Amino acid sequence: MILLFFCFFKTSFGSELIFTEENIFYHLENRIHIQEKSDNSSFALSLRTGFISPTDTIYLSIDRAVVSLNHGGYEFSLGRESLFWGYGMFYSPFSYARSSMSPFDEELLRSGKNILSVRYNNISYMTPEFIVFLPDDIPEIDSVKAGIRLTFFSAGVETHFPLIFSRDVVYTGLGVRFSLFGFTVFSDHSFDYSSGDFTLGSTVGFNKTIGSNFYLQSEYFYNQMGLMTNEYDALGETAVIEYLHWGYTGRHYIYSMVQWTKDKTSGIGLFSLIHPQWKSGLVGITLTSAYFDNSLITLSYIRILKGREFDFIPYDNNILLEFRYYL
Amino acid sequence: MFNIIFLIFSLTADELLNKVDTVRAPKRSESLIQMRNYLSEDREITYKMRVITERKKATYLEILEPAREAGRKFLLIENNIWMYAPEVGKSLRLSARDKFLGSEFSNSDLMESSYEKNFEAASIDSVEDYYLLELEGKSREAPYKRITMKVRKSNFIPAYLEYYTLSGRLFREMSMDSVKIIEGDPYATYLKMSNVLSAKSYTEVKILSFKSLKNISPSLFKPENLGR
Repeated sequence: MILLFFCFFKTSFGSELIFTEENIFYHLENRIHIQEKSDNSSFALSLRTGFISPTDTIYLSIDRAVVSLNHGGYEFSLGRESLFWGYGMFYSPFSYARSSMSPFDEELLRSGKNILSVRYNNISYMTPEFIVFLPDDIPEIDSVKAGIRLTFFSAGVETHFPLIFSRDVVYTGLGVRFSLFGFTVFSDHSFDYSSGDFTLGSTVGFNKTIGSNFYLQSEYFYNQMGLMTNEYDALGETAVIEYLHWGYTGRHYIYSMVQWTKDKTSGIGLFSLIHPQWKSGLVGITLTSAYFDNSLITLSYIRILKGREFDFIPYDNNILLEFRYYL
Repeated sequence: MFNIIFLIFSLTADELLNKVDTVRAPKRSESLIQMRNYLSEDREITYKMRVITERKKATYLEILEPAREAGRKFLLIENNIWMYAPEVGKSLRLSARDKFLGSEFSNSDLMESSYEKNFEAASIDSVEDYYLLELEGKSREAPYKRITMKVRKSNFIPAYLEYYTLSGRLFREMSMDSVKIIEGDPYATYLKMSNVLSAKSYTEVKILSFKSLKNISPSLFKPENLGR
């Protein structure tokens, strides 16, 4: 018998104006999150739907739609699930198990992955998981990935080891997170093997709460899949467009943010995403106010630091003003 | 002279600390609590939270209200605290000493179910209906350097506590009141934490409902499961 005993429903409406040098965009968005849990089952649904003008487009994004059943310590899950393998806030080298971040998505919202997984929860210090990544579109055996992931927590240290196979690539790696002198330090490394070659990816960083109100985070991302400077320059403007993925086009990136909050009602944050060799990226500032009950007002300014991939962003300055109401 | 007699014929400091911990919460419990954070004379925020605790092992806390914060989850294991924020989709690892949701409680004050884990009993005394117990942090990782508490002799529930920083300065004070019998045992259902440095701001916690549990699913106390 499946008995649902804990139900969680959350919805919010956002209304956002985006100002650039030449245009004003309007963005209306509704987010819905539903979760029902019992001792032996759970269901989660998270979706976003919205409207963007100009272009006057309506969109629907299903981030989570997953059913889980528990029996004897085993948890079976099927559906679309938000996966966040890796301990970095912005970057992860395990891109197959985590949607890549957009530097322009300040709320770090990401769509999920289609999965089938079985995990065993009855070992206190370890969680073994067998997982199959199912393709988004037409089922093709070539695009299916499957394997195991072991997650450990012991003596204050978190670690995880994925080993995932697809038809042509073996994805492996490791990640670790621990506290040291009041800092939380994390390090993720991927080693993807294909046709006799390894491709490496790494995220190394830390976060730290300073006093009661400051929060600091910084992380370095090494992306061997990205272009080196000479490779980028040799491609030329037309060819490089195929490789454009802001924040992922090159090999080295540093993401940093510092946040100050007061009594959970207001805050100010500074953030940056920089390619240190290309000296390009973006910097931004965000002001938030939760003064009014069940609402959040956010004002952000993003300045593009032009150079190579960031030359393709048509605007230098962006101002975003959002009012979000939670029901 | 009275103190010497008291120490010979009554509890030791360690025994009293053990009793304080035993009555603090049952071995396993689930409670619904309301936290009201008074930021200034005309500003307050009220939270409703579900808390599941296994004493000396772990505490899970989920925010139910207000809507803006709903879905935020916290997990305490040993001195490690994770916060899952649904808008970020990830769990962040925090410090036990950080303020809990901007309140006067630290993460540890609200989620820790045992003093013995981080503190050792340093001294004991007796005044009228109360024991006076002094705790010292076992290491620099302890949330406070020192805690002093007035403990009710009748039920071993602390009535008043003072928290001291690493520099030895009095930092916070807490009163515990409204002792009610729940499932046959007494529990303080009202806590008030004040910051001695900012007299106008304080935080109240009321226990709305409380029940002991026979067992808790191990999956609840795993950091990697917070987002599920």
